[in-house]
Amino acid sequence: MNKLWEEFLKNGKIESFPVIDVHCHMGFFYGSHLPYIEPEKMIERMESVGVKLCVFAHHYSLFNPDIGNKVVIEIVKKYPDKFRGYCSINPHYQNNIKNDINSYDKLKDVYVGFKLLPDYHRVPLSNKRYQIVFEYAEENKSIILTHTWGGSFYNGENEVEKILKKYRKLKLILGHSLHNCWDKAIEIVKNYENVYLELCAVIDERGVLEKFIEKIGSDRILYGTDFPWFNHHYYIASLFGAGLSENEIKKILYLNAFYLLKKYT
Amino acid sequence: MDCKFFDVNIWIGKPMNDEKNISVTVEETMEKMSFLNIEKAIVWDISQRDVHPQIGNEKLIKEISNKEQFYGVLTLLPFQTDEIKIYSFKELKEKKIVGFNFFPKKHNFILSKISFGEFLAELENRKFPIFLDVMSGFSVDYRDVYSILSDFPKLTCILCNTGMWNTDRFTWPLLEKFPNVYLESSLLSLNEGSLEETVKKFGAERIVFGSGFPERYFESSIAQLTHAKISKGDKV
Repeated sequence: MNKLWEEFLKNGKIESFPVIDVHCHMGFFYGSHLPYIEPEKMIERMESVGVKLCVFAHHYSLFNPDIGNKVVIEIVKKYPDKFRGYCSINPHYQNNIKNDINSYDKLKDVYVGFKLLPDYHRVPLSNKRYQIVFEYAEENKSIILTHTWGGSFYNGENEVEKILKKYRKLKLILGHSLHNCWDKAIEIVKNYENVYLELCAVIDERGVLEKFIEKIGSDRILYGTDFPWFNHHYYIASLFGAGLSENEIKKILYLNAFYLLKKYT
Repeated sequence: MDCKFFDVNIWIGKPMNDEKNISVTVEETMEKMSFLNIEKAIVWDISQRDVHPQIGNEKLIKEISNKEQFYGVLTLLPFQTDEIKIYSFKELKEKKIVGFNFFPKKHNFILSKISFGEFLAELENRKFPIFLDVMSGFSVDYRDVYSILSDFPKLTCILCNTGMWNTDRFTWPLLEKFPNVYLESSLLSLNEGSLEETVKKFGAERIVFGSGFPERYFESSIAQLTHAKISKGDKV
């Protein structure tokens, strides 16, 4: 592990395997200044740290129904080796959802799945407005990345379990790993085989990843950063700080996402 | 880059609540610092916040007295209640105390001109630093910082734990208006581009390296700074 850390610290990247980030965004965000929001700048930053692929939901797709997912399609088609997209779902615009799902099959070189953001859209995960998305994703083996946060009415542990009980084959990534409800996140991974924990807003604190590794191992943990919100060097170094083995680091940064996304990339 | 570090944001000791099991012994902290080339650090003891400043301050003074790599920060309360021992600046220097911090939200007082006016004016004149934690919820928020600095515009103030989300919208106006405000780097490093863009706009002189250990990993701040797109001169 020390050798890999020394390599990362010296070169700024790990040469023996690439990194896949399954939780990214792009574009301006109303809530904070994000200096590096353009795809070209993001690619420059990705290359400096060995990130091969970012899977992203564009901020405008999430927050501006007039723009919707067309901006994602344009960017992935322009940079297919660097980006894959989530089809963002805004539950307040059912017609947009129907149109997106109708065109989804033709855009399998763009999308790997769907992104849900219930805390922001203020519609609980189990609300019927998302039903068409869950049904489609389960049937077509598409991934869903949902924002989750411990205790949330919209995407907390109770809502997540309602979905998992109903859609047993759904591949679900828990963005932020039910933040602050870590024991429940662990329990859910133990009870539902198609669930993954994602590390954005998790590894900026010591202690949580260590607990995940101890209780569930590294096979169901995915690297995610909200990039361009958070910095890759900072996040990747956290895995070293947590004392993970080289094998665990490789699985989290690369292999787990590689196998999950293999069908799409 | 084979760099040596001076970390201004570490606490030691055992917190009242350690749900994530993050506390480490002083010896473990020193061992980790040594491994990562962190030669010096400014530290405070978590009991200053969680037990009482008087208990914690004395514990800190004792703890750092025989460790050359550590300097300390004492925690203050309003002097009117006579709860904490007051040291002269000469005594502070002898005890390797290089600043003060405050936890008004936890310790139930208001950090202002009313409660600390003459004292903060003296710190301002002496250029003696205060360390303000903006994120924990125990210390101050940005509205408090704006207010204090409006009253004491030349105060030497190091803003620590600047916020989980990018805080340029809060910190850049402060850097622009107040010449003695500095940012501790750990959460600038977390936020993509924040450190680089702050250096570009205000100069590396306004940033001091910090890790936030043991709440955050040493390795994270070190790796980010090492590979930040700023000049080597700016890094050191």
